[in-house]
Amino acid sequence: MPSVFVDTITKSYLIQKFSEYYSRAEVDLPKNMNSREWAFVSVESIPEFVMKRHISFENEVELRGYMVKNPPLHAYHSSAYYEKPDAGTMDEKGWKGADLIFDIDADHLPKGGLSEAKRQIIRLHDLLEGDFGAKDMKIVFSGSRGYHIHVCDKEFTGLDSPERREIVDYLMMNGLVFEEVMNSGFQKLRISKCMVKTLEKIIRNGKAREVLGLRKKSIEKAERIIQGNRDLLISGDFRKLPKSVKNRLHILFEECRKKLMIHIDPPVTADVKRLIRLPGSLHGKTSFKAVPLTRDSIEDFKPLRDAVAFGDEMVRVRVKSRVRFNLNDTEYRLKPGKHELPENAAVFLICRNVALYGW
Amino acid sequence: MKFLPILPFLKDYPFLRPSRHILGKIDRGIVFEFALENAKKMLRDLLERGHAEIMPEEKSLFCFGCDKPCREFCREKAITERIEWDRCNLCSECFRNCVFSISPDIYREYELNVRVSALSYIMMRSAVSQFSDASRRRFATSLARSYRNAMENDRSEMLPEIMASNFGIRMFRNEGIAVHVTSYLKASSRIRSPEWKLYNRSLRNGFVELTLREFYRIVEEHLRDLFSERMPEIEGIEPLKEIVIRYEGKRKYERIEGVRDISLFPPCMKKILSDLESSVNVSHTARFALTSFLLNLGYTVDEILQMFRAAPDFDEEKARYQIEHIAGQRGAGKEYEVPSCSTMKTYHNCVAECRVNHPLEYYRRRVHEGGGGKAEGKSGRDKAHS
Repeated sequence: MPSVFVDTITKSYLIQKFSEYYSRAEVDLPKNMNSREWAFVSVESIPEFVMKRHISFENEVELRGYMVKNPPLHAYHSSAYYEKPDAGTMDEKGWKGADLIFDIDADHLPKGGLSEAKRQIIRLHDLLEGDFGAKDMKIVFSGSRGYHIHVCDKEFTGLDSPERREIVDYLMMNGLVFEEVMNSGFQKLRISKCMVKTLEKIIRNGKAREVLGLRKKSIEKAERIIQGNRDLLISGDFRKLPKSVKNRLHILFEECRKKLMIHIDPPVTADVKRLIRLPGSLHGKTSFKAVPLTRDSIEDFKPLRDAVAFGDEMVRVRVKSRVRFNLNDTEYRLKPGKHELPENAAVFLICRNVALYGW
Repeated sequence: MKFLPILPFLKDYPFLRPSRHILGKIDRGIVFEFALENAKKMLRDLLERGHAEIMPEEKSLFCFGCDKPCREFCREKAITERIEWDRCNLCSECFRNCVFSISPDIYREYELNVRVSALSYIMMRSAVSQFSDASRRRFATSLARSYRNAMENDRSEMLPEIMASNFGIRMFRNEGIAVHVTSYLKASSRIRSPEWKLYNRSLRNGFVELTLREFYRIVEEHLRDLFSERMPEIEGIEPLKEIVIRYEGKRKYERIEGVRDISLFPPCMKKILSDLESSVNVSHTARFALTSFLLNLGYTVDEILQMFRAAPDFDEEKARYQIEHIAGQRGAGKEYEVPSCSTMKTYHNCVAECRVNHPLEYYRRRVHEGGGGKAEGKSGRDKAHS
């Protein structure tokens, strides 16, 4: 929800900083930018959170001119391509297709936070490439708590919502249940392989009794069968295992399914007319840059270092409440009161609504 | 001879795009009468029995023995030594300029057969277009299924390629047939049986491996779409319209609007309701589903608002705005549809296995069966009651 800055000096400082950013920054333009709808929440509109929608631009010069003049706190473009992107209603816009969008949000993951989100987005990228044959993909750090992938290959832009939901089900393995024979489809084979490896590991570590409730005899028998039929088991055929083990396989199945599923946000992918953050723009709740990444560059990407958009010129701020954070490889522990901080930390705190500009 | 190679295929499958070039102007006459007779029998079978017998002949494309001088007419550059089917869209320019010839008598017979077949097909579609969606749906589903059965029995070599080109299905042959995942999803997202879930398939580099039978199942979905489209009226097909009227008369009109009986709600809606009542936090997608469902049964915005009152984050102004939005009284004025079972599943709002496609279908059945019967979910999994 809207951050509440009441202070006009702070607001003009922010407008100046964001405007400066957009006059120098390279934003990563989506393809066919003139068929997209654009939407902005301007810094000017603070403390209200007013989104201006149904805007269209012919080219980069127009877009940049707009953003320097009305620096946005948040900048979005539509995943969809339209006949008339600036028309006021969906019917008038004339939908022509939409990129396929994926969103992994650190706060929706069961564990692991931002670094797990990064691992997930890498796996997602590789699945989209290997299984779906996607080639024209953009990976983007969201500027806050997650990562996005935009698939722009022409083949996928015509997909409707129900079809996109099938892709969600594939990636999240929704509705997939354990069967003794799971040899159709690579997602099932991935699970089968994980199950065999987990079973081996459990037995090796002497945990089979504890985790699966197996007796010594069953364990020994299972071990022998695994040795002789490893390939068959990995190919998803578990029928040869002793009954006592088979009865417990659903536990391993669930564990592997949870491990292998990709935690995307379903409605984002299913939506054919979503607004998505402009890669290269700033995220108004953090001041971080929504950084466009590649499969190579994401490996070493550190959000709290590489997404920092502002410099280290010292700035005076009044911190409103006690705060601890890590930015640009620096650890900050601040008490309420006057502080002189590098610009990047100052703008970050203002966007987080814990500091005001000036003494 | 014009269109010669494709004529045998058009006779069996008059819905293929090149038919329109042969059909020409529709005149009353012997061809018309003959076509009408065929159409009457077929339409009656389709509506009453849900199936029509279509017996395709085995046919081969004459083009294999030909040097293909027609290639210069191909706009898609799909004709080389062979035919590059993935580029072909059956625009028929090559067929129009075909120089291959056979005995004129046989040619005339072929051509006549195609005209009868194409005319029958157009007549049936025109007839059902004048009536309710339900009749047109019944016609489209039955005819598409009948053609799928016909294709399964048709061993003609190039049939899959011709169908793929006609419907823009991206495919290539290997041991089976590899279909591009986007073409696959267009069909599979509407087929409920689990083996069509994408994770039950081998998907590599964007292609899904299918058998020939499965490929025709995909074609069937395209056919169903095509046959569901409305078509302008043709004069002189009253006997066909009578068949549709008779069918509609037998069908009981199943209205549910205004019937309000929460005990007949599907388990998913009951669950959302009970969660709301017990102040459990309910996801946005679930609230949307319930609201659109209630609006469909004729509940008013105020009545729906009451049901959300116990929600932990209830904000009357916001809730009212959202309900009105879903009802189409706000924003773009678009009334939203109730999510289907598959959508409910994706968003984890499905709580039982009811063997229906749509929450409203469940309700409609329950209302008309007086509360019992097939649509009852397996109560063991019906979490709403537990």
